[in-house]
Amino acid sequence: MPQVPLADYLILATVLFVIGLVGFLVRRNPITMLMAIELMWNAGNLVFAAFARNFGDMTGQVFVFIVITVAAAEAAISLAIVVMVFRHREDVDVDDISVMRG
Amino acid sequence: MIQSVAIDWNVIAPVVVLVATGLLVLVVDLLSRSAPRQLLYGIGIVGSLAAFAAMLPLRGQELTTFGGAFASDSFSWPFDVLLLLTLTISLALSCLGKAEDGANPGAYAALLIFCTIGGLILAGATTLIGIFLGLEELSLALYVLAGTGYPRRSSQEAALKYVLLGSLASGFLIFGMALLYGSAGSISLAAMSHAAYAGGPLFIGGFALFLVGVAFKLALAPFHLWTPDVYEGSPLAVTAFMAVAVKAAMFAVLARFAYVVFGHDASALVPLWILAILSMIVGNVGAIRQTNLKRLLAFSGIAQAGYLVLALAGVGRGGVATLVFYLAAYAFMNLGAFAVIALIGNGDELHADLSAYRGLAFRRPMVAALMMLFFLSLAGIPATAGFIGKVLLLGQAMGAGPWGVAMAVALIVGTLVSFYVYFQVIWQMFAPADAEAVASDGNAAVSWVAVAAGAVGVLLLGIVPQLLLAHL
Repeated sequence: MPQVPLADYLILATVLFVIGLVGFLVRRNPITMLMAIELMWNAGNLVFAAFARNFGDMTGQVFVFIVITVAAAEAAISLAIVVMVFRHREDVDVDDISVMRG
Repeated sequence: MIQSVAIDWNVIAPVVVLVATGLLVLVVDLLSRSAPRQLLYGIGIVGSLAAFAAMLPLRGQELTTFGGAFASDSFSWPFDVLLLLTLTISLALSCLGKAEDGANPGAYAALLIFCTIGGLILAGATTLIGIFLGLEELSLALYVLAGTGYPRRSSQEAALKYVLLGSLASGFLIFGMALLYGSAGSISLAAMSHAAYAGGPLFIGGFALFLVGVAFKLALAPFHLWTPDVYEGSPLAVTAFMAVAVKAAMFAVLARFAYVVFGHDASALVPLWILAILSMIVGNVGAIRQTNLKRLLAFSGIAQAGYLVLALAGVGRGGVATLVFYLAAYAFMNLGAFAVIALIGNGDELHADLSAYRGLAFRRPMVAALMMLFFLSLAGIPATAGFIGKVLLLGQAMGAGPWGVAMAVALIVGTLVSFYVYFQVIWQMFAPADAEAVASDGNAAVSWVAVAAGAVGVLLLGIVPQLLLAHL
């Protein structure tokens, strides 16, 4: 079976990371922004898994599991916060959420 | 073959005590819905003191557990003490009549305790997994705490901004950690020092992304944009906790990383020195126009984070002692200032506004004198902890080559600018009160204890610094 070279994984992960970052910067809906952040977290996961496979070392894969678990907790908390904000106004657009200035 | 990892429970006793306290608070809250919130916070304070008692036998020992992934050593010990002190004072300030806790005191107290556990893990972490888990435990709980004043719009806004930008920073951190793992072939910081020695694009890229994540949590410029809004929107006791505990925990990580990974050669840390200089400029200049004390202290915190980096300049000898001393000074003066804000308004958010301090020196001379003490210490006037701390920082930076000197100059210029900021607050207290000044007659005993703790700390460290320095 032909092996995919490590560099390809790293390039793919970097592309995912940049897509996530750009998505976060250009989108104005917090839920979409959170999805973009998930993409960045998973880009990191991909790098961990690729190196773990390359080294023949389990640590990187364990790290991936830990990141996935924390990401679930993070998603629960961030969505709860979005719901809390949404209850107090009709629309959620981060540009409108700016009582505080200065 | 599965290897069993021996766990030395003594080493993680403080963490275990805090976990038990957090769960106990939740159970008590569940069983008696009508329990007064002071009882729940009281349990938290007792648990925090018990965790401190559990730490006493660990002092001066170099222990590790979880296969070397968690350390309790002379490095982590002082950071742990600062974290527990902050937890105690924040819980005490939460007891006040008008303090906000989202009408759910059990969850609120448990979250503050879990935050502190995250900080303890960060201070003892010697691998990337420990750093990641500690950081996320600290952050996830704080995202919720920022929103506990939620009928207030600014609190909702604080929670949303914090969770979005905090998760973004974690994204940088994870990607950076993955590259560091790739460069070192291991997640332990000790192994990373070899990779640092060899250099290479993987390590440099990984460290850069890691630094972005850490700088965000520390509110170093230019990653500080969330700080003023989150500090202003969060409930008062949470802001006090955020200002001190997060900085202490993150500086523990940064210092351990700097000393273990870059101990032999600090030249790769130049980006950190640049962030420090930027923070000193942005923090002090940004504070000038603020009329809300929480916001003003947020900008002050950005500048102080920049000062604290000087302790690591050149990764030289005595750096950790300097760092701990200034962090202790920072903790006492900030907790003291937040405690005064809580004291006069009985925990009310309105008293974060600078206008509430007009004429305070005539109405409540004792409170005004204490507030003045904390702000003089923030400015770095002799006989206060802030002065000794800045002298130590300058000494550390001057011996660390051209970048050290550049940072020392930035500290002096920043301090001069900050005189204007802090004296403005003091000036307000001596200005004649206007007719619509909000009443500021809060007098709760518990807030007096917090103020007194801050004042004693600031004066003791300012007049007899040997008390602490002899033990570092």
